[in-house]
Amino acid sequence: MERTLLGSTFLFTFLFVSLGICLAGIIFRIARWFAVDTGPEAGFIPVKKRVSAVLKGTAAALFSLKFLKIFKVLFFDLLLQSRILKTSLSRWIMHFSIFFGFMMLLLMHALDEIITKRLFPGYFPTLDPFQFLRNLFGVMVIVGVGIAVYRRLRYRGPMLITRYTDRYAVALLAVIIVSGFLEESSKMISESSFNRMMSGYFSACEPHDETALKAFWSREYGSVFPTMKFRITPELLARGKKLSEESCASCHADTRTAFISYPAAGFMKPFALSLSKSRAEVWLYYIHVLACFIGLAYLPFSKFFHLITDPLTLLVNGISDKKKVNPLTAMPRRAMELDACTECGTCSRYCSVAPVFRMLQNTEILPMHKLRTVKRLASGKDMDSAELQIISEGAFICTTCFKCTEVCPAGINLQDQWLASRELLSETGHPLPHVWLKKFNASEWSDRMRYFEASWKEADAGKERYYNLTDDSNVFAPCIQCQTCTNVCPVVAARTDPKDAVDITPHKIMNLLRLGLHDLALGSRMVWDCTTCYQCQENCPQGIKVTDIIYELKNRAYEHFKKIDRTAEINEDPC
Amino acid sequence: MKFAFFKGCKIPYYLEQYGSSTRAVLKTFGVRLLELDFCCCGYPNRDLHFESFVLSAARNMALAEKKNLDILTPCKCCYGSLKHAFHFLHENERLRRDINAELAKEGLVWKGKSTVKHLLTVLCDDIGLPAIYASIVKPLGGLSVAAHYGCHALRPSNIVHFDDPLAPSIFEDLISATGAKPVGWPRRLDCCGNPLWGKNNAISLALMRTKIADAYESGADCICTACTYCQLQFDAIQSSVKTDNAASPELPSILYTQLLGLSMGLPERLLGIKRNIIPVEKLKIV
Repeated sequence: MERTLLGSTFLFTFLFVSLGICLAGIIFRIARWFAVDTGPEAGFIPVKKRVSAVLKGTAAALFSLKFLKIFKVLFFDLLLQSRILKTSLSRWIMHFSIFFGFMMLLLMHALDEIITKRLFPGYFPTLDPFQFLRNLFGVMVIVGVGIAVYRRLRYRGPMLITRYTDRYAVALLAVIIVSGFLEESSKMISESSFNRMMSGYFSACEPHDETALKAFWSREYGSVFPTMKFRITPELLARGKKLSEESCASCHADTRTAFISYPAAGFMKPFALSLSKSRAEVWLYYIHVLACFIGLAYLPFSKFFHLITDPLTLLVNGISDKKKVNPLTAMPRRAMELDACTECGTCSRYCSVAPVFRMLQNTEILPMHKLRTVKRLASGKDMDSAELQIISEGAFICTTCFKCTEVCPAGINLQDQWLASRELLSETGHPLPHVWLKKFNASEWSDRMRYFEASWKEADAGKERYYNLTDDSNVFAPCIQCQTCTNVCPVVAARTDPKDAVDITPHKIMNLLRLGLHDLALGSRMVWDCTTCYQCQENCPQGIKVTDIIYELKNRAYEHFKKIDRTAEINEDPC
Repeated sequence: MKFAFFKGCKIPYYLEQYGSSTRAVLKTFGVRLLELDFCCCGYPNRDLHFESFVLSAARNMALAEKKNLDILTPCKCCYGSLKHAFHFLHENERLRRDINAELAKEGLVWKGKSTVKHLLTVLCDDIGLPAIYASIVKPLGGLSVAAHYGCHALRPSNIVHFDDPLAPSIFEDLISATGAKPVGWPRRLDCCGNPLWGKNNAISLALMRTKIADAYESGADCICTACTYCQLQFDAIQSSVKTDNAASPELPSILYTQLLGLSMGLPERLLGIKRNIIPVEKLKIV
């Protein structure tokens, strides 16, 4: 059997179908970047404008003098993957092994007819250094995949999620590489392959030449001839060596340089006869090649799509200023970035508010989860108010510290994604707590509180708190209502809105607590408009911790009010 | 002298010049700054959830403790937050135990061995005014500066221990060293309004404008800050709501590290003078 692709109509058809699916998939996914709405610009920038802006921007970038920047991205970020190295050596070893090993196998081995043969006229897959390198690159991929699997087994939890896409990607890579090695090994020990090669490239001059060649190959190169019996003598080996040098060496290096396949072949020797009879090397070849084609077709729909999106993202964000966002190209760029995320979890590991997640256990605080949610929102998924409320909590706990953007190996402008999604959330009625908490005034919240949850004190009963200033009368009982707190409060002084002016002032909050009317204090605007400047606490002649009390009221209010449906109507008076 | 440099969340994206100017100034005094894998100080989340605020702050202090370093922060809100958490962890044993149990998951522990210091304290006390006076090569004579103190470093004094809460002088002393003249202004200890930005912009701006008008009437050429949030308020936010109202003039705001750096003759680039949105060039000190 001639092992070229073109020789098999079946494989040839398969390749073209796979290529077709791959290209169609890529085009489909890229086209979507222009269609989906990923930010507050959605309303006033039609799809046409987005396309033309991106084309103009690309042309401008290509013809500008940004070569140095482009080169830097290509060399350091893409080729050396320095952004991964910046955060973790082990992850870099993992990723670089897979990337470099796989790329080299693709260029040197899979595309050998097109690339390697032209660069090296004497190329033959079974010659060194190609044979050796193929094993080396294969080992790199296996080592990388091994580390990846280990990491995913070792670190489970919200920081590193393993989805079916990860499993498929890893499994496919493993199948490709392992089948490749096994094919090489099975060929080494296949008697039928040997006979086929011999009949094609070897003609015996003397009667024992065939035996001599086989004897030499079985001794030196690991070939196995289960159907033959011969007594190996030094003379026979010497003759075999000479014949091998004459007929085989121009295309075959020592099989031992295939340092994985050779020992693997050794293990397979006991089964050599049945493997040879069942033409194992042929079906292993089919598995190997078909797995590659399946990978090709699957590429645009799998984790492998990052092979396209990540270099693009790195290039786009590498040459543009992350702090100055062009509104015309912002949405396609964000959509591309959403596809570029591989959920590697680096952002979440460096997230400034990760400790808050540890306490609140809302995964929407973690950037990796947040980006997935942004993607779901962009794809137009319907979410109910309760779900959006949870998303909003995460979005506004983020301090936009820029750290995730700096560490993202794919170069995603996460900062911009967060700022854009916050705007969208605010527009849809899920702004930051300080804003939605002012939707109702103190007595309206109090009504709602009673309607949904009996009263604050009842809901709170039995909870162990580290501090309980608002429930401890010793804390606020000394208040003599002298109003010093109110008089020094800059917020009270600055209020000009008459709607705000009727609300409660600091000394009145102290009074409400003294009267046991906690529910009324919770939702007061004073509490949410407090600047926490500590003037009241510093100046209180009775030493009351006024600001700390206000902080505690905010905590309690948030804890209870976030559970209350803000959209529901309350018709009856529960009292 | 070596510190763990706690930049806080806003400097890297919104106020790079504060980070670079702080580094530049402290370098000339031989102060080494080490950036650790810090997270948020906890301040923004104190409104919503006490325990998350304490855990965030404790984690940062524990990181510095592990390196046997004291913390230096240029931000007064970070300073206040870390100091508060220190206080709560110190006085509440149950809180300390639970927080340490959480920290233990990443091999950290809070023992309260690292001190938290604000940049101004390090300049005034650790480096000392004489050394600062000695470093001035270009005194900024003729410039009147309104020192804006910043609430979270100053109050509550029994927890933050920064300066006298009712009559502080550290900032004026440091401004005098640069050759500039600190002006007396009635509202110097008031809030800049930034804590309410995005939450109640009307009040936030009212607080800011009251202060600016006061500084202007008191004869100041500019406001000087030593806090990330205060500077954002007086620079980025003031310029974003600019009006042509002659009664409420725009007053530039300069970071203390920029002011000091200029008087020390440090290169403008390191001080990030051009990054200030309201240009300080018209002060004729650059």
